[in-house]
Amino acid sequence: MSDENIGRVFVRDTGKKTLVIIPAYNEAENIEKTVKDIIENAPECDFLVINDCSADDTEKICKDKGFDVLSLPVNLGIGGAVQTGYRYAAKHGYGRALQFDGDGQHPACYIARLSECMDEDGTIDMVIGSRFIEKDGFQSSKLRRFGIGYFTKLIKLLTGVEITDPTSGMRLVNRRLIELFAGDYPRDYPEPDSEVAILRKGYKVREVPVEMRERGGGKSSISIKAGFYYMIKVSFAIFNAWFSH
Amino acid sequence: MTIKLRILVLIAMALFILYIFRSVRKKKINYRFGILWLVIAVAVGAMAALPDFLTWVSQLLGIAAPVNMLFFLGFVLVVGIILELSASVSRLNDEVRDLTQRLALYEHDSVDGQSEESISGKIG
Repeated sequence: MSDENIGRVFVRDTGKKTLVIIPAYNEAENIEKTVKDIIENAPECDFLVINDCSADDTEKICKDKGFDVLSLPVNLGIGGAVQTGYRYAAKHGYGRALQFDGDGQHPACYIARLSECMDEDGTIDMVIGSRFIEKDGFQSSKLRRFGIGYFTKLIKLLTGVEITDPTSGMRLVNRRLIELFAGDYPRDYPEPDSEVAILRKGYKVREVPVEMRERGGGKSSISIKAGFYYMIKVSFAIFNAWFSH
Repeated sequence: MTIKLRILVLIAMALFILYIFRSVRKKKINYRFGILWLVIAVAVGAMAALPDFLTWVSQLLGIAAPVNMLFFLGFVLVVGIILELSASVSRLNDEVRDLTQRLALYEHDSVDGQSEESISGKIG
């Protein structure tokens, strides 16, 4: 995992730049407007679409529109896809990386808010965009809010830190965490347990308020049935992350 | 343990061992797992062939019927093998993930004629 000498390495001044990592699995309906939103509202950032072996036209749309896309030959799930982005950012020397869902839930105009938070305090390692600070925008279903509330309490109990939106897929990290995540990142439902793991290691996490939209077309990665697996897996992983320190 | 059951177990194990040999020869099972299954089959067969030993071990462990002892040991061994398989599959998963990422990163970065502009994520 540590050997990152893959292919040609382009020497560019990326140390101060942010790479927006956009995981996309069967997002043909949403990917174009998601990327256009980033180009328009966060023009200072580079971006990379990680096509997680989509069965639809996600890759073709990206190529036709000239979007930078990296296609995985095997479906790895959200964790493996996002980690590919972190490995790319690590290899190409990006100073910061931002996860941004490919399904159109995240408005790109909030990217600047996350960046500013990190600019203001250089000791912060991760900034999470939270739906539940100002409680504006799409607030998710009651059942999901209950699940998220449970994770918030569990993380508070174990680390003493309150994260109002631990499942948020909109997160900005600095170089230290790019390198950590490039080497080790959870496979599925990666957000809450990766947060506990880094909090236990002493990294600093902040949240800023963002609004999210209800996802556009396509299907969410979490169905009701998968919700049970999600709760159990993340609880187990959170305890593991806590004990393994 | 009745003589009938002992013969039945011995025949079953003999067939099982033949099956394992065939599977290894046809490369359906690799040597690592083939040997594991063989050792288990031989052990179970030996238990059936040597009932005195089985009786002695079951008395030692406080199990009334030697045949229960045989089933219990078989169960423990099978659980052990399944755990081992889970570990194997998990490790394979991690290896496939690493290789998939390496391949995708390599392919992405070595596309000929791709300008630095499009690599950087801007529309070329």
